[in-house]
Amino acid sequence: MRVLFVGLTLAVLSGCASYSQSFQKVELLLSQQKPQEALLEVEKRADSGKNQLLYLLDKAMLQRMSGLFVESNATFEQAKILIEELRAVSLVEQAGALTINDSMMSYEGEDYEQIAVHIYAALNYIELGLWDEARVEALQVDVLQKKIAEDNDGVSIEDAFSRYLTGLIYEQGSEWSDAMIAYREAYRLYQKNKQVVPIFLKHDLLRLSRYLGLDHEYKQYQKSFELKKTLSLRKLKRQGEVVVLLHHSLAPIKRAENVFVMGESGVQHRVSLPAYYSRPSYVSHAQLWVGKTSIDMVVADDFDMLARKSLESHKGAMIARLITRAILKKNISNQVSDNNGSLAGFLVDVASMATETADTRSWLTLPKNILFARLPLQSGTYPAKLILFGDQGQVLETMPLADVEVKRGKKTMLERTYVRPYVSEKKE
Amino acid sequence: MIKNVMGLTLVGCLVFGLAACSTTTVKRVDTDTVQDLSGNWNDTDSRLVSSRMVSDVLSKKWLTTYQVRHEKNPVVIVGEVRNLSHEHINTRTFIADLERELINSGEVEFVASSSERNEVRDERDDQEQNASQSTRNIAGEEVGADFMLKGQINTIFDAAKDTQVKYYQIDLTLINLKDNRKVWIGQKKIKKVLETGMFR
Repeated sequence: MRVLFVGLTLAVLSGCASYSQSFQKVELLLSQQKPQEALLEVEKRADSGKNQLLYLLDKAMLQRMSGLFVESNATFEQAKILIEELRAVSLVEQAGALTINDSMMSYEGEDYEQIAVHIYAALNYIELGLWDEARVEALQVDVLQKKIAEDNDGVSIEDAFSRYLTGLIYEQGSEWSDAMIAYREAYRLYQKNKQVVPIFLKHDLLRLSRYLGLDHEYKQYQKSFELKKTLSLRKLKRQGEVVVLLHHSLAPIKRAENVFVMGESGVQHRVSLPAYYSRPSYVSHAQLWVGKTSIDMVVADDFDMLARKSLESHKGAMIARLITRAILKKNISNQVSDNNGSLAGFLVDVASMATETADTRSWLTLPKNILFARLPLQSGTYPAKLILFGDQGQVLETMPLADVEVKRGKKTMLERTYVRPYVSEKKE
Repeated sequence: MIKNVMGLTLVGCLVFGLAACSTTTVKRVDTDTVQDLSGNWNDTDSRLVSSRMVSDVLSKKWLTTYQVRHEKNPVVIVGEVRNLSHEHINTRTFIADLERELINSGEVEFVASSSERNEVRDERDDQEQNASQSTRNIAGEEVGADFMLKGQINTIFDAAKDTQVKYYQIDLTLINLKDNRKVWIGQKKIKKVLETGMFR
């Protein structure tokens, strides 16, 4: 009787479809450029349980894709409060994770996802023209990065673009030294993550180090960047600047993979590990046209890479936990078969196998990467467009941007999202 | 025995489950009650800072100097209070608190802010068309402000392990609109120490 009860409970628990599977419909709607409908779909699945954070993050993201920036930030604020609450450890959930599976723990968000909350909240404020509020997000990024570094003893996965964006925000407020510090940090992180350093950042570092009289640093940048011409800050101040972001495709998705690992006593255990699968990459490069001037966009943020690095960094601890759990489950089944007969033991085995599923949760509405460009221009109103190229060099699409108004000494930011029908997914 | 225990557990679970879906309770409290929930900037901070700042600005020499020289109360306008802190602070309630304290003091006169002025002007334009001659208010009779009150909220934030220190500094400046002279600078600081729990 009791065995059956345990078996049933376990079976019921595993009956929930994995998080990443249930995302298909949202993804389909996004690829058809129907973010409002995708938002309704997500709202239908409002979750106040262990996946509440994911619900809030997806909702906020779809709200901003639907142009609801104020609402999106209200949702992001809820997410921030929840993240704070989840920092404290729940013993009940830990016990659940140790005996059933990792999905028994509330989803707290990976470090890079927690940072992305501030990136997108800041972008929302910029869309609303509230640069001072975006600056609040910039300060919060700083606090959070410090906290993450402290929690991980300095070996954390850090998002360089979050720093770059804060630099941009400080520049808008003419806070040059703060901008310099942010750009310097962004430069360090791009190198640390082995990403291509955006050419715009190189120009920014040169411009600001020169203006702030950091002669030694300026010369070093000159030597290592080998750039021909950088606009001086004085000249830039007399012009305006257009900043464009293209949120391209979607973040990678986790799938469960069964792996056999060797336990201590030479016993093999079947464990289920999450593995990332990339979503399609449509755009290989893009060009921004404003008036008669064009500039190539560069990848400034790479969530695909950050997600993989993040998973890789947890893998050791995850496998250790999986083995402990496999041994624990095996011990229970042995005990049950000793006390209640081998059939009962077999049932427990089946149940524990069935519940052994990988935690495939992640923030799926994040983009795969962000393409970025900034272009200094004389003040005035210009027609603007984006031309997107595929990997064969063919033009995929020409995206018209609304007429851009460039104001002297100010930055005008424009954003677009590009998600298209799903083709295939690649593991590496 | 086992049955008993299981029965009890079941009842316990049910009671717990029911308690979890109890309805929202509302308790009204006096607006002066100090309630610190998250440690963030709240109504108490806004109220305390505005009342202290206003009592400071009204006790300083610039006011009596002006009153003696011009034989009237100065006209003040509240400009922008910039939020340069780590938190999204609603500066509008803070500004409203400042305005209320200043007006109620009876020592200064107040004019509407630029956004309010536009609305009032629209109304006057409307009166021009629709109001009777005797009740009509004509344009060009507005009172210009002598001083503008501006400010900013800054924070320093420090955290280690489970302890956080939040330090707020609020700076307000009163600027003479005639010659850009600063006639008063007020500063108020708030420091909060927060401890967060390890378990939930």
